[in-house]
Amino acid sequence: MKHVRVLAAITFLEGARNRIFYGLLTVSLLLIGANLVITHSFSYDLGKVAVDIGLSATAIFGLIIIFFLGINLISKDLDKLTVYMVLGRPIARWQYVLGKFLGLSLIILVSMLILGAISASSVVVATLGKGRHVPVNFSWNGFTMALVYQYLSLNLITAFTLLFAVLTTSSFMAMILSLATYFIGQNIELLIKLLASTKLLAQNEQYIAAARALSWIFPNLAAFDLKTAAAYGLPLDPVYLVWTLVYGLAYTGVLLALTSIIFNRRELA
Amino acid sequence: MRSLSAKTTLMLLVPVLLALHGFSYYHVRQIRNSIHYKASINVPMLPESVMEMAAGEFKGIVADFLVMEIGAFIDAGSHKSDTDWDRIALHFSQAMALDPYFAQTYRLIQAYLPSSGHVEKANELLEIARRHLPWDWYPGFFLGFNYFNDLKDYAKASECLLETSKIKGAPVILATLGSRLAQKSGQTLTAIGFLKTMQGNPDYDEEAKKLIGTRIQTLEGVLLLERAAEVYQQRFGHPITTLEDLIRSGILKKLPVHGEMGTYGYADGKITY
Repeated sequence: MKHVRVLAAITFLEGARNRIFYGLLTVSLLLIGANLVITHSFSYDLGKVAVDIGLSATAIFGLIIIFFLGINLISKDLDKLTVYMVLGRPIARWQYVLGKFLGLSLIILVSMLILGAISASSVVVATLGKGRHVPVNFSWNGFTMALVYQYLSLNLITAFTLLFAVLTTSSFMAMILSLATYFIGQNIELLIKLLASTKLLAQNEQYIAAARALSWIFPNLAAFDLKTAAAYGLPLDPVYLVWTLVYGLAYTGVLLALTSIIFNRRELA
Repeated sequence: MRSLSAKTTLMLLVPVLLALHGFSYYHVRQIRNSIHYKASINVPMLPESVMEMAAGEFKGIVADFLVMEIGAFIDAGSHKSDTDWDRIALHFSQAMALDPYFAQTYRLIQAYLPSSGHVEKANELLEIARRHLPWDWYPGFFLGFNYFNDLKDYAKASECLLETSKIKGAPVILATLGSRLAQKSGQTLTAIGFLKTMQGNPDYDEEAKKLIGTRIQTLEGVLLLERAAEVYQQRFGHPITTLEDLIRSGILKKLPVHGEMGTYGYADGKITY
C-alpha cells in the first residue's frame, strides 16, 4: 500500500502543479461571485437560486477536472510511455491504477472542499438579510450531504474515465466515452420513467426491458444528485443515503478492479 | 523614409484601437438601450422531458435561467401576440418540469398566464406546484382564485380553498372564502362541517376562531332557509319568490339570526347572505 500512497501523492502533486487547475479554480471563483449578482434578479426563493449556482459551479468544476485534467494525466503516461518508468520499479499494475485513482480523487476532494466552502459563503452573503426568501426547511446538513454525494458521483465518473483511458488508445476517445457515460448515467432513470409512462412513446415492453438492462450497466448518476433536496431543505431518507453510498463505493470498486484486469493484459509497447 | 519598428508601431496602434473600442462601444450601447432588450426568448421549444434530459444534473440552475428569460421577455414591454403567449406557456411548463418547487415560477405563472387566456394551463402548472409544496398555501389559493374568477367553477374553487386552508400558516380567509363558494355551489352542509373542523385548528388565534364561529352561524341560517325553501317547493309546487314566503306560509316562524350582522336574501334561486 506504500506504493499506492506514493503514486497517489505524485498524481495529486502533478495535478496541483498543472496550470489548468489554477485557471479553473479562478473561473469557478468568479462564477460563484456572479452568484451574488444573479441571485438578486429573483424575488422568491433567493436561497435556492444561490444554492443552485454554488452547487452547480462545484459540479461543473469537478467534471472539468475529470474530463480535461484527469484524462490528460492518465493518457499522457500511456502515450509518452512514462508509465514504464513507474512500472519498471516493483509496482504492480493494480497499484498503479489505484494510486492514479486515489490521486485524482484527492484533487477532486481538495477542489470540492475549497469550492464547497466558497459556495457556502456565497449562499450566506447572497441571502444576508433575506431570511424570508430562504426556503423554510433549508439546512446546512442537506447542503453538505449534496457536496458529499457529488464527490461520490465524481469518483464514479473518474473510475470510468480511468477504465476508458486504459481501454482505448486515444485520450480523445476516452473523453468521448466518459462524456457519453456521464450523459447516459444522468438520464437513464428519466428515460425508463418516460418509456413506462407512455408520454413520449407508445408503451413498448422491449424498449423498457432494454432500458432497465442498461441501467444495471451504466451508473445511475441521478441517484447521487441531491441539489434540489439541498436547495429546498427536503428530507433525506437515511436508508436511501446509506444504500446510495454502498452503491457508489461498490460500483467504483468494480470499475477499478476491471481497469486493473484490463491494464494487466494490455501490451504497452 | 525610415520605417517604424514593430514596438513603435504597436505603441501607436494600441491607443488608436482603444479609442476606437471606447467610441464604438459607446454607440453600440446607446443603440441597444433604445431598443427593447428582449425581443424573443433564447430557449428552444423542446418538450419538457427533453429539457429534463438536456439539463441533466443541472435542472435547478437551468430552471433559474429559464424563469429569468421568461421574466425578462415579459417585462420587455413589447406587444405580445397569441403565439408569444403560447410560447411563454410552454416555457413555464419546461421550468415547472425542471424544478416544480421554485416559488418564482408559480408566482409568475399566476401573474401572467390567466390574464393572457391560458388559465387552464396555469391551473395545470399550479397543481404541480401544489403537489410538490404541501407546506405552501399560495399555489392552492391561486388555483381556487382562478376557478372562481376565470372559470366560474365555484365547487372546484371551494374545494381548493378549503383544502388549502388546512395548511399551517394559511390565513383564515381561505376557510371563510371557501365556505362561501361551497354554499354558492349548493354544498352548504359540507361548508359547515369543514368550518367546524377548522375551528379546532390550533394554529388559529381567538380572532380567527371567532370569525369562523360567526360564519358557521350564518351558514347554519342559510341551511335552515334552504331546507325551508325545499319544503315550500314540495308543498306549493313552485319556488319561493322572497324569504317572506316562508314566514307567510307558516314553514318558519321567523328568519334565522345572521351571524355576521348582515341580512339574508333570495336571488336567482339561491339564498344569499
